[in-house]
Amino acid sequence: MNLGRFMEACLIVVVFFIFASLSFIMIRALSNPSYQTVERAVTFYMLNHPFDEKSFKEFILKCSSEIAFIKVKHLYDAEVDITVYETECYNYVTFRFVWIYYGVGNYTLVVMGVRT
Amino acid sequence: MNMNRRGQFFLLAALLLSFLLLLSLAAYRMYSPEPKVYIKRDWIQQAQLVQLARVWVKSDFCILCIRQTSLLLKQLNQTYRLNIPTLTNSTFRDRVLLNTTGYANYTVVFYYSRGSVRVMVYWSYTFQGFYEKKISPTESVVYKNYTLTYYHVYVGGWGSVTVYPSLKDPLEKADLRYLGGGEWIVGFPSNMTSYTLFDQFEIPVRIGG
Repeated sequence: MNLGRFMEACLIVVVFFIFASLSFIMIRALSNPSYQTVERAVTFYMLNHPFDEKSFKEFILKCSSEIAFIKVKHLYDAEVDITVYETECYNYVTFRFVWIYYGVGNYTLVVMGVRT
Repeated sequence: MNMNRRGQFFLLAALLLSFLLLLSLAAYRMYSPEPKVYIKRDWIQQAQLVQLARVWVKSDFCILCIRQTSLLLKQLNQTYRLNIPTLTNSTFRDRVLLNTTGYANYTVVFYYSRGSVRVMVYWSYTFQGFYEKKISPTESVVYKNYTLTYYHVYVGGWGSVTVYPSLKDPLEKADLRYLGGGEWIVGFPSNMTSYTLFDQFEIPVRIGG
């Protein structure tokens, strides 16, 4: 076997392995179990509880270990930005939901990342 | 031999192309992690509407409140891309609050192209009689005794969910006892014609005429 053929074979093997290692991006979608679990858990919380930052964080972290971050922004009289929980993670799907209150312009925005 | 070489180059080219495509997709996901190809609408959007409906019920379907909160939701939907679809809504209130018996039914329905979300807040009460409550060793107060049924029904993508919210007594004059399944026993001083409790979502629940 000459050197050219050998390099060609190596290249094919390398490309194949990189292809296989990256192919999870195509396979993992929004229907993955962690996304579904978190989605259901957030819905359950929203239907059954008034929003409370501390209890929400405890509840959601108990429901899923795939939470990348939770950011809560309250808007009452003055705007407050709070990052509650964050871990290093690149591949995630973001949930955003608002909790509107009685009164002019009062709301809480929750942004949450779930690892994919 | 030449044909064989061409096949090999073609295979290599195809592999390299797919590799580059996947690499670009990975970079796209890294710098913009939200997939934009398809809009995800599921239960969270509907649950936000349930909360909005509870705010409306709390306001007793005040037109100004409905307008302001609807506008706020629309703005937040655009700003934060909440993926809430275009909505229409209808509200319904049926309320008869007498001394001996009464009920209130607040219903909000949000319609969108693929379905609807229905929120019902309901309570009813019946007067059961009077009782005396000792407030000190020498003093007692006559209380009115009522049975109260209180629940919320949320119909949406999740099916039908009945929630029995807890009740609070900010004035701390009432006797409250929860029996389970949305049933309560409520007593309050007989010199008061009606009494208002608040649920955990701060919706006022009035008992008596």
